[in-house]
Amino acid sequence: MQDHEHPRSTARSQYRYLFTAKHHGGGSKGDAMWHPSLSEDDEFGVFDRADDLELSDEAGNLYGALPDGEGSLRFLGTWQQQISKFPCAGEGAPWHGYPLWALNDSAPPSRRKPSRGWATAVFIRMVETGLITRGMRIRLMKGDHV
Amino acid sequence: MNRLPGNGDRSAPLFTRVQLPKGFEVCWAGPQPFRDGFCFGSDDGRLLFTDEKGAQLRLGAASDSGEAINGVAGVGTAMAVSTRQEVNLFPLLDNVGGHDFSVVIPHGAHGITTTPSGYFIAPLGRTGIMTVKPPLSPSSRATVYSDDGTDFSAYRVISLHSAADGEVMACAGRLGGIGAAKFSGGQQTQHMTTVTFKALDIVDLCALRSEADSLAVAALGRDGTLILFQDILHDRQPLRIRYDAVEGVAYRILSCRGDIFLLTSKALYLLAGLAGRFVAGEPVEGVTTPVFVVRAEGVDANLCGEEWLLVVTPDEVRKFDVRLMHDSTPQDLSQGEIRDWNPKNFPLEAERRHLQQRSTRVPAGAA
Repeated sequence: MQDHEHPRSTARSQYRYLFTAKHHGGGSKGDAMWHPSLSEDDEFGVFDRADDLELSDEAGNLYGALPDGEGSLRFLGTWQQQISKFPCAGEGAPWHGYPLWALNDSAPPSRRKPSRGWATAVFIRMVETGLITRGMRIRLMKGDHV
Repeated sequence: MNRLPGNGDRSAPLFTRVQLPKGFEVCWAGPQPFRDGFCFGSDDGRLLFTDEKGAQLRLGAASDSGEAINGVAGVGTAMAVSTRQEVNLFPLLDNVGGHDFSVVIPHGAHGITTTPSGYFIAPLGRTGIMTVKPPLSPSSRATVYSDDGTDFSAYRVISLHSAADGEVMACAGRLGGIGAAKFSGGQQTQHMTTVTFKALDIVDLCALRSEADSLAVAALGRDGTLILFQDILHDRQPLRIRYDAVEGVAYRILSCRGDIFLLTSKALYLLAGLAGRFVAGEPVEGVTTPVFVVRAEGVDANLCGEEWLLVVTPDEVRKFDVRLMHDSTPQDLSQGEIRDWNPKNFPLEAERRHLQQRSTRVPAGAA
């Protein structure tokens, strides 16, 4: 797969979205990868909802999840990740995203940053918007599945 | 319902609510590692120790990163606290939880437990399984057993013992199935046997006879499926059953006094006598299991010996009297949310593989 954009922009902010080869199997072994069962519309939908619900941290990064019935989330990544991150893109540039969460093992120890700061605010926002329950928030904070 | 019609004591409460300090957002609850009493972890990385009546003994920070606590264990004179960011190790001084330095292993874990030979052991997801043995010093190192190229993601680990096989480590490996290996601390490689089930996401497991020399284990699928092994190391035909009435996403499986507790996102289920019947070789398939249901959104649960079950919900911690629940089933559980369930036995589509896990030494940091 080559990098390519979704034909639509997000409804709220008109953000463009880029599907990256890196996070669809074209990257290195350690790169997070979107789950193959997710369609491009599903992936864009996670991003669109994150923008719509303003699930962002102080740096402007967006975070998303995809409900799976009542009280659960779909797996977004091949390592059972249920949360995704969309790093804040530059002005006018398309955004991209990748599955995140469970354990903080996505970078060498010296580069790992505690996630509690953004996670607390983002997960509370997810509860406020009805995306997750309070119990799911606590479990996700611990790195547990929901 | 939180009252159980018991043997002549119709007012015995089924559970009591644990009082916690204001601002302490509990996310984990379990036994005190070194004495009777309870231990509670908060979502900002603090630990609270109480006695069995709930009196507060000590409260303090326990996570270097301030992340939510997902496991606490103690062995010898050391305590370990896990979060998704790191594993924190503390040599103890005089008081419970007292220490003057900590050792931080820079790998996130899904929990932590101990082995009879005195090791801490933690599942690190795709990174593998970490072991470390006290005594601790600022230069302590951990050993991580890992295997490249498989779907095995160490999610929950338990330690067992049998006279024939010595110490055995068993692990829930998500889509990588269930792993088991003889454990001998300090070995360079570890040969783990895994059993995988097509598309079954294994999220937890527990010993069925924790007090005895036994390798009997129950594992739990995220969809509520139970896998029962008489011998996790050698059993080639585990029993796979599912109760259709189980609702929600399965989180925890625990066993005590011959009963099985199943915690989901919707309820706590007591499967009365199921473990006892299974390990005794009695039929499970086609036999009705009395089930007691307590509806609540579950978050986490842990047993404290054979007396208490602590269940974390979004609003509180509930302390269940396990002995009372056991002694009251199945005859006395005749009111309220009592069900008789018949399990469905699935044809087994298991694949057994052998993984060779290599060890690497991981330096710790002092904090």
